[in-house]
Amino acid sequence: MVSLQATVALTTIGVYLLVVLAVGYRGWQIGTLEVDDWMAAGRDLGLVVLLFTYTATYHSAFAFLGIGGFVYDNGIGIFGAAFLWVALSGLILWVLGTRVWLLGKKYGYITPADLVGDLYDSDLLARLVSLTLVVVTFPYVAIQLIGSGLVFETATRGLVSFEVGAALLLLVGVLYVWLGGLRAVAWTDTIQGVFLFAAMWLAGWVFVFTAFRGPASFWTRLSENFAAYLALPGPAGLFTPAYYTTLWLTFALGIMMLPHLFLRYVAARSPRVLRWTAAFGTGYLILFYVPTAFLALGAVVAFPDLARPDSAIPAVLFEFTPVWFASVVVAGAVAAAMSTADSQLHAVSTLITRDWYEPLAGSDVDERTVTRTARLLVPLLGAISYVIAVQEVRFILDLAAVSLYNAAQVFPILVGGLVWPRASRSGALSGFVLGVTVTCVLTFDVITLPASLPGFVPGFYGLLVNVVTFVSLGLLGPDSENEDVLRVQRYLEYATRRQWEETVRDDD
Amino acid sequence: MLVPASASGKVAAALLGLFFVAMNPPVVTAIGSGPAVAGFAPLYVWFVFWGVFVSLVLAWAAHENAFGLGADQVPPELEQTDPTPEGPADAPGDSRVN
Repeated sequence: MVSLQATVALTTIGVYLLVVLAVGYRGWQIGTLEVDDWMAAGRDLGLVVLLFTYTATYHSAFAFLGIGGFVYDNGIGIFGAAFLWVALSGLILWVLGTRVWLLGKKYGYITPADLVGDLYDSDLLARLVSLTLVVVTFPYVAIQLIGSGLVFETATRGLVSFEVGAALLLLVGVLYVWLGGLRAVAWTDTIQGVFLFAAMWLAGWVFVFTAFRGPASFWTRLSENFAAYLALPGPAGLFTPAYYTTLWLTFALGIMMLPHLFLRYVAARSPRVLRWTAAFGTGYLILFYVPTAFLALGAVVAFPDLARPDSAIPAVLFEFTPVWFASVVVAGAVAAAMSTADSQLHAVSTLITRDWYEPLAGSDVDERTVTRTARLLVPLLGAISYVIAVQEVRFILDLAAVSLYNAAQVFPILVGGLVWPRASRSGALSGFVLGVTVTCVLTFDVITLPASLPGFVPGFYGLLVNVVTFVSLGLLGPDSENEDVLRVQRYLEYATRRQWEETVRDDD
Repeated sequence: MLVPASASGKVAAALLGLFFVAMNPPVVTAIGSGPAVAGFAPLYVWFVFWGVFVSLVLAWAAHENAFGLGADQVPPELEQTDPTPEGPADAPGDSRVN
């Protein structure tokens, strides 16, 4: 006989999947086979949809499962770091995103490689950036599948296995990405974002009042028995000042360079939409974490010897709240994983088509063929992700760990090219390659740094080498290398200073 | 290009600077070892306070368009509904530059 927990979980997830499928179908009805439409939602996303697609995409399975495990092991320091990287991400979305939006509208950029390749007039740099971003994004799709499969299995008490659960969610995700491209992804993200936020807030407060009769006694109990979890550097001593500071900084730069978020820059209807998305999105993402602390720290009190820290939040929910309630909330984790996986699937497919297929196909290829190719890649990439996910390849987890650190290496050369007139092709190429190399070498322990050096995260050492190389070669290099940089910077200057008005006045 | 020119931009930048200082070591390290605030862990209260603070600052800054690139800075040629992007090597039906 099927248990109440499995019945509620299956019903909730079933209804949820039907709704997102219907929304994705609607996206397909409205969409066209134009490249801009499938890859960038026609550059026409409004505030509500962009807000939720930004926040739901930003929060992956990490926000529901991973952070629980992190707090369980290292205390609440991660919340401070998370608030910092969320706030800096909001600023980047606003200040950089509006500039990228403007240039995308002017020059037709869609992917980061489009922009970097044109800025430095370098196909090689464009390919390297694209390859790096594909490699660091692709494992994330498998990670989301692993997360959603585990949630499915937990919520249904094993009635639906990890493999079947992951396959079902992937199938639905692939279907609506294939049908509607970024528009369908963004619309389904809106539903997922609302569900995710409501589930976490309800769960946090229901738990703290059910298990502890309110937050005051909850915090008292924690501070009496687990004080190390409530201060830096945490019980394991991880959050040293050097680690804490470089972690949030590198994470913020890395997240905002990942292609599934970069595509949101160019998909906005206007700079105003991006500005308000940055403001409200930051509030949403920060407020989301407020009740998460209750659930994650609740596991520290209730299950001091949890075998799998990532299951801290589901374990607390099923122990302290009604089964039907826990099942509904845990389905929110499915939404968290799915909203990121679909965006990443779409982004990787877009990057491969845009940055690799189009240049190879040449100028004869028409827009419909390009879009069809991108759509065809979606099930193919999904199938590969699934094969990786069900085998739980350890290497994929290692790759995911360096994803954000390596994506962050795009930031200096992109921003430098937009603001610094001396930015050069050789500087950008060398800085990027060295930054990625240093990050990988340190992350995979190819060499070990002396203990006397500060304990920065590997990506930060990569950023230091990247920036020093980029600036040095920019200062030393010939002026002929930065003609395209100056062309783009002049256009930004023309826009921000409203120079077309001067032209009109001169004509008068 | 990225430095705020308006008065509201400078105020917003200063408030954001305050947030980044308050949320980093050594401030957070010192706060974590302080006494409880109405029964709550001091570091948690500190994080939530500054989290709400930075959200409000960004909302105000957005209202004031403190960091620029507003609708009035979009060149008229980009305001048409179906813009034709420029590029030296446009493929037929393609808007890509390279």
